[in-house]
This record gives sequence, C-alpha cells and structure tokens, in this order.
Amino acid sequence: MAERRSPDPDVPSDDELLAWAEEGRQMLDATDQGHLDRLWDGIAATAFDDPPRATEPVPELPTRQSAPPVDLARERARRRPWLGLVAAAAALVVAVGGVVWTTVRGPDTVPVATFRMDPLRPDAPDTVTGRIVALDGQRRVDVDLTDLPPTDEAFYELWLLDLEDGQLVSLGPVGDTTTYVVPTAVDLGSYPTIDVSVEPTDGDPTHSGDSILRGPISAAEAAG
Amino acid sequence: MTDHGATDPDERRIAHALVAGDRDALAEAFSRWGRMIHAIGTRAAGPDAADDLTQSVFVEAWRSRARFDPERGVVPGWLVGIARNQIRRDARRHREVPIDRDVEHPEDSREDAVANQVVLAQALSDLDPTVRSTLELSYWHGLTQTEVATRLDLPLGTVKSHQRRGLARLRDILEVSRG
Repeated sequence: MAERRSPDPDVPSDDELLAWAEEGRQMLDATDQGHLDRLWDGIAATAFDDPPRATEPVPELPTRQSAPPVDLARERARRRPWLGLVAAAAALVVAVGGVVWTTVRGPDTVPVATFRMDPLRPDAPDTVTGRIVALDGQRRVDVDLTDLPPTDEAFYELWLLDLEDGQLVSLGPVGDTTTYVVPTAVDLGSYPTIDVSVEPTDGDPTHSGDSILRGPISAAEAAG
Repeated sequence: MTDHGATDPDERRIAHALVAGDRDALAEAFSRWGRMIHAIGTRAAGPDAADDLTQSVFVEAWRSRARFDPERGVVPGWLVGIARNQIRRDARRHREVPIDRDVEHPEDSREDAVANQVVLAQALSDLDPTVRSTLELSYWHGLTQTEVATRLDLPLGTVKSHQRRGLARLRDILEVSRG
C-alpha cells in the first residue's frame, strides 16, 4: 500500500498529485463535448419525471374538455352570492358618486374582493396578495406578478378557477402590468380561486395544469 | 483546510440549489462535472457504458439530493462517489463467483486510480487561474518558485501561498471523493 507505483497510496506527494492531475486531464480532454451535451436530455427526462413537491400536492385541475356542462344560472345562485352583492353594491357606490371612496381609496375604485396566493412550487415567490376592484363598472384584478422567476420557452398566465366544477377563465398572460381586466360577462361569484400557471409556448390555450401560485378569493370587507 | 464543504462560491451555490430541488442546478452540475464522470466511466467500462453510467449518476444525484449535505461535502466528490458505487455494483454483477466484500479487487483499485486522476484534473481546472498557473509552471514546466514569481509578476510569498492553497484544495477533493 505504501508503494508509490499506483496512484492510490494514502498520502500522495505533491509531485504525484500533479502527475495524476495531468493523467486525468488527458482523459477529460478525450471526451467530446457535443457527445456529452446529447446525454443531458436523457438525464432530464428521467430525473424530472417525478418532480418533488415542496408543499402539499396541488389539487387536480380539471381541464376544460373534461368538465361537464353546467347550468350557469343555477350554479351562480348556488355559489357565493355575496360576491355578486358586493360587486353590485360597489357599482352602486360608483354610480352615486363615491365621495367616501375618493377620499379613502383613490378615485372611483371600489374594492370588490381580496386574495392571497400561496406558492405551489419550490421556485415560486413568497405569498402574493392582491385585490379585485371595480372602476367605472369595469372589474379589474390588481396584483403585482412582475417578480416571478424568469422562464425559458414558457410564460405565466393569470386565471380565475372553480376547482370544484372545473370552470376557468383566463385573465391573460402575466406581463409588466399590475392590472388585469375581468371580462364583464364573468360572474366573479362563480370563481372562488385565483391562480397563476406556467404555460409552455405550445399553442395550447388551455391551462397547463402546472400552477406556481394559487389562493382563495374573499369578499372585500363591507364598507361603512 | 479541514473544511470539507465547497469553498468555491459558485460550487456552493450549485450545491445548495441542487439540494433545494432547482432543476437548473442539476443542469449546471452536469455541464461542470459530467465530463469527469464520463471519463471515469469510459476507463472503467468503455465509451458506451460510460454514457449509461453518466446518465444514471446524475439521475441518482437528483433523486438522492436530500441526502447530500453541502456543508460537509463537495458536489464533484459526491458525484464521483455515486459513480464508483455504480461501477462496483455493475462489476460485481458480472463476476461469476460471489466475492467477499472485504477483499480488494484489482479492478477496484484501477478504477479508484482513474477516478483519483480525473477528480484531480477537474479540481485543478476549477482552481483560480492564477493559483493553477503557479502549480502548473512548477510541476509541469519545472520552474522554481522564484522563476514562477518572475514569470507571473507576483511576489514570491504570493506564489508560495497560492501553491500551498492549491495543493491543499487538491488533497481535500481527493480525500472527500475517496469516500
């Protein structure tokens, strides 16, 4: 064992260390980089096949195709009538003139709901909060999503979800803005959850099922 | 230099990100140390088997990342450890006669020697370029420390401390990867 002929003695000399390094360098140099690069896809495909989750499992998101048709009028009555009421009240305040709101909440915006989205992936930012306000009869989501981690060949999209019945509405891709318009025809009471997904640029407009943030929407506290 | 955690800030960053489950960190680890694992596999089992070995080492590294402690180990040493275990497992599977675990086999020491050489080469190339130059000029080109100092325009004391630091780093890596 103490002999120095094999590069495996317990304590190599300095000369030996560097001589071994030179032997090793020749072996490293003999490997073709392009060949190595081609091995990566196989590693990624196998290793990331079952990605670990840092938090509890994400609820399964029914796809648009699999969701059964819903009688919207009946469902609307069943679900969260308060949100509709708050929105209606908000609209009324705006219509009346909103003197109180202009002093406290800024010009003509009326809070409709608030939400808190929690991270669903290890790379997600901390909890993100936001609100839904009404402005001149138009509802909009105010939330700052500009600090999401950069993505390759993918983008983020903001959604309103009804996890129970698999209904969903896209509020559009996430960009530099902090404002997302809720389409007038959308009944907020039917969508209790707000969600940010990671969407591959694959031309498929449906939700990818890969969410980075999600949380419940709560009615804004009734004012005065 | 008894600290076995990585001292290179970039390596530390990769180690912590990997343990945290960052996929990009595995890609970085592969681009930095894949060549080293492949070289070990090539000598141990041939180029085709080296492809399989390299892939399975990085897959295994990803799956067992929770067991890696960045404060106590260095990523290249850990990867080499995974590679050596797999090579030994494969070799034993192919031996006809069951063997005694305690008996040292010539194949094992040859693989260990190759692993040591490749690990050292990688560690040397990962050193700060100036530190590396002081070692290469002395040991490969036969310059004295004074000549190295002149060549690199450094104080003699700096050359000595660079060489001491570089050699200590190589010994550390070697010790860790020998497991």
